[in-house]
Amino acid sequence: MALGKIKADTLEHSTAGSLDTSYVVNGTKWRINWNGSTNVINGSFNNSSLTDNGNGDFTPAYTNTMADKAYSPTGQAHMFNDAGTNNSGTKVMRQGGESLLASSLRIAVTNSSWATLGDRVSISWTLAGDLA
Amino acid sequence: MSEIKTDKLTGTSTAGSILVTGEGNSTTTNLQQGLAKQWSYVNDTGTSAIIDSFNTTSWTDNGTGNGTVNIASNMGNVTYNISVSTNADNDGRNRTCGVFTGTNGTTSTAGLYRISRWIITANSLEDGYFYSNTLGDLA
Repeated sequence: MALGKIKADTLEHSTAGSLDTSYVVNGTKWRINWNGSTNVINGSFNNSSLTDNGNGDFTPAYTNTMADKAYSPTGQAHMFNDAGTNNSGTKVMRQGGESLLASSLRIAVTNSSWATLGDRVSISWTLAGDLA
Repeated sequence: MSEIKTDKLTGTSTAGSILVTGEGNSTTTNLQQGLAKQWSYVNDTGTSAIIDSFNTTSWTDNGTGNGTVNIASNMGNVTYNISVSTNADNDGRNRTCGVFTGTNGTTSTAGLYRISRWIITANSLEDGYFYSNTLGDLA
């Protein structure tokens, strides 16, 4: 049986309300969760590869590329404990110029001092934007 | 404008996978993968309470500045993405938050994750508001 295709501008649930399908099309286009110490990808969507550029410096690449560089990536480097004493952060890397590309982005991860780059055991990133 | 009225969308080839044509009108993305599977807005000041949420059963207050989000319909594994944010202090700075992973990154389970909020300059926990969501595979 051939695959079906439905064109619609609105989805409506019987009790939970309706949704313009533009919200569906504009959903998350990529996600990755990886261990920065081992470079093992734990889970992902639309991710083709992960390059370790050095301590706390990574470049994941997308399977289906974005339309341009004007998308919105957000990320989180999780912490080892919940006492606020061994935290970390992650940001888009801009060292050496623009790192957002249609096919990938470069990510910096800081260690507990927030001052130097460091590999962390659980890093998550997602993005929203337009696919090519 | 066309409108579909239904309570459930199911893929024909694979029940849990529906493709959506992207903005460029050629590449497709996956409907299920693009949807947030859980979110919650928690007031963890005083008597903590969930202000609003989706697919969340409860918030467990583990003490000052940290707690557990309990998911209603579990995720399919522990490799899902968690994003969390919090409120700043009164002058708009000096607070942050995170997800507790433990030293081996395995603290989160398919049914819960732990988050904390702290004062950056003091490295001490403090109660506040948590805004969190998850992406990944449902069970």
